[in-house]
Amino acid sequence: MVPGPTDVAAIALAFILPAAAMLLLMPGYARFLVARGRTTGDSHKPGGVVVPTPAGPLIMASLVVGEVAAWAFFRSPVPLVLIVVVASVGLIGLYDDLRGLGGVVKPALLAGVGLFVAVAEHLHRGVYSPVLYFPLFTETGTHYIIFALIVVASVPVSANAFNMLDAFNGEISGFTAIVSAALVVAVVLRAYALPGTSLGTVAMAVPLLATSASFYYFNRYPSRIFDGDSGSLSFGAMYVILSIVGGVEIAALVALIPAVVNSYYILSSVRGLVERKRMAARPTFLGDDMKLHASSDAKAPTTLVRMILLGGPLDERALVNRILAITAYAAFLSVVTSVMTWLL
Amino acid sequence: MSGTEKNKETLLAMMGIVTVAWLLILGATYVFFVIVRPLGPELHGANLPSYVTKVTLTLGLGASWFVVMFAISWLYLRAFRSPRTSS
Repeated sequence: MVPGPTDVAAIALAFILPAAAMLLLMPGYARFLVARGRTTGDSHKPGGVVVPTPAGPLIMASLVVGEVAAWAFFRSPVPLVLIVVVASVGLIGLYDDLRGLGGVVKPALLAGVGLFVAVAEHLHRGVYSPVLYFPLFTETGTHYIIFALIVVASVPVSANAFNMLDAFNGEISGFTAIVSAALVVAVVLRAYALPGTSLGTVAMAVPLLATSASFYYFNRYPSRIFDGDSGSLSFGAMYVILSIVGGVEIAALVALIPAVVNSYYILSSVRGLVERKRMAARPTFLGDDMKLHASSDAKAPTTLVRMILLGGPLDERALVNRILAITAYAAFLSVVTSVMTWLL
Repeated sequence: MSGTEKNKETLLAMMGIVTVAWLLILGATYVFFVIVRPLGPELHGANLPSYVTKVTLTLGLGASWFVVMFAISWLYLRAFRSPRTSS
């Protein structure tokens, strides 16, 4: 489908408004957090460096601004569903930032957000399509119950996968920006290939790219603000629900492979859902050379970072660049998957 | 082998893991559409044995992804792990 002037204006505004909100408001918000004493130590730097946290509320606000812009143009209920998802998950994350939530309570609450999306589809058909489109082959049949179960499970899985990648300066913001760029390509190709598809899904997808890319400016090494669980969970939930309402689940899953592999290796090595702060041993440690080393402690979880550091110690910036290089490669495979799904 | 070379090797190996994970998804897609899906009628119209067979095979495809990824991580750790002490 060829975009008209209204489509272009909607997509441009849905990108520009969240990015502008982030870039203009973040410095003042960071000062506000410092004035309120909301800071935490940056454990990978010497000299007691403290960084304001959490940036999650501003990330939520930025995403909401973008979805409101998409809604204003397309008048679809889907951006409203996305707003409720971001607000709910962000508040769960904010409670976790301020008070802490258990390793089982948090996934249960996040599954409740997934349940809300499934119920929204039940009440208003068209929020998402209960069909999976696969590369090279075709789509599955329509399976309302099976798909609803996938939606309920996807929010805690994705949100926690993002949360587990939130350990180093610029890691989560760079990761989200790269995978959301692949997601935008997927929804653009789907809109191009499927006759009658609204470009509204593109306008709904770009706020995540705009928010994460502009947040990377503040979160990259050396970080001027941390996102907190409210930020990482919001990113993860928004990403997976966008992939579902956009009908590009398989391509989105491929971009997410580094996060999925990381989560799977952590869960299999610690044998269950354990909150990061309560793990018996850390996967890495800061050496006297100010570089990060892989821990040799048998109790330490097997993480993506620990696996990378088995090649030798790295400083934080080089380590995050490697993680983002692996993510960019997965995003490239995601684009290949999108081409195989929609153009071949 | 120098530290830089070993760092490059781990980066390439991690990209190899991502590639294998992707190929497994494509392979599972092939098995699903060519073998599992043609087994009997559509899921909603299937009788119980056909339904159970299709759902079990689909879950088995998902489980095989995890088994292969676990085996790869074991090979990776065996290849790159060297004795170190944490401070």
